[in-house]
Amino acid sequence: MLDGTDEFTNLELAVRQHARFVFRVAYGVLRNSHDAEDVVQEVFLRVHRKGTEGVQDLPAWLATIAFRLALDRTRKPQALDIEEFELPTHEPNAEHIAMHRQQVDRLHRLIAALPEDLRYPLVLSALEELNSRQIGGILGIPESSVRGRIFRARQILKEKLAVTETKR
Amino acid sequence: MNHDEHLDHLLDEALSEYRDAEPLAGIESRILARLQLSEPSRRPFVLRWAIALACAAAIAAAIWFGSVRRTPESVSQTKIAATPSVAQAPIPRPAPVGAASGAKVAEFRRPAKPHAVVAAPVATVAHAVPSVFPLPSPLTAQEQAFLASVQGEPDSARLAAAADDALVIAKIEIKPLERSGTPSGDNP
Repeated sequence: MLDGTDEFTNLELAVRQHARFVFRVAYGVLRNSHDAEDVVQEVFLRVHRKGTEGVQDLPAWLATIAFRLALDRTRKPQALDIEEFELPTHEPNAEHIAMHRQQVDRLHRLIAALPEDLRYPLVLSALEELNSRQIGGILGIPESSVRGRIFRARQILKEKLAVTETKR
Repeated sequence: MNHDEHLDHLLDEALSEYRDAEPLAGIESRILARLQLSEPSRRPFVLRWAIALACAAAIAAAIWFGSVRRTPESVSQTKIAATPSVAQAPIPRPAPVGAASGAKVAEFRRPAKPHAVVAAPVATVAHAVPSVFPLPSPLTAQEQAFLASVQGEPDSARLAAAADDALVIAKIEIKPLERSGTPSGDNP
């Protein structure tokens, strides 16, 4: 059994080691720094109250909490449908923005328009700290499904991007 | 670089934003500060146990004192002490002239206080069986003084009691007034 001081020391260590990772998980869902930081604080408050006894994989456990809290914060999606998603071929200030940056921005919008079951595996796969098994644990799906969904998401994004590029 | 590789590269770059997302500086400090504020009453383990043990000891002591005070003898004594007698009851005095109305109210309420004070012990020992029934009322001041004098000088008291028994009061005879034939010089 840990003393209260030891508990807080361990918690402090966990904060210093994993706060930024937890932030990135929340940011992947929310795409907003302030909201993501709120989620991180909420995650560690919960850890503080409940402790980490019996937790095998602390980063994955923290990521799971952060992911669920971030999901709770997301409002209803803005009715974007990847099938009907059409990017404007000419931005008002397109001439002043670098071509490359435009493409990346479009990709972000495409990612945001992906269905959740494809978007979250793809976003979490971008985090180096998480492997497919851990992502599956967070999302509650098998590891093989994680890989399949990531592959499908990438395919859809590339197709959409290719279409917009040919329209240009 | 073919088109597919180019798209993969773009996709990886877009996803790198998630990987490289950084919070504002000092997020760890802010989290720790909030954690410390969240539970200010969180005490060290030893201190928590010490407080728990002290509370347990206090409760045990209270139970022990309670059991000691509930013996039958003490119960009857408690009842005697708790029963207000006429001699001990405070006599309400008239309030001094010019006293505040609040003082008058307090004066009138005073007799009720003994009942309120003794109500708790009587209630707590209500289930105990008294050793003497009916309960003797406490001695009055005169009785207590007499008891003290008897205990101090038992022989003289006994003799005084015997003297009281032997005392015979002679019958008082009152003779009727005699009337003389000569009128007094005072009466005309």
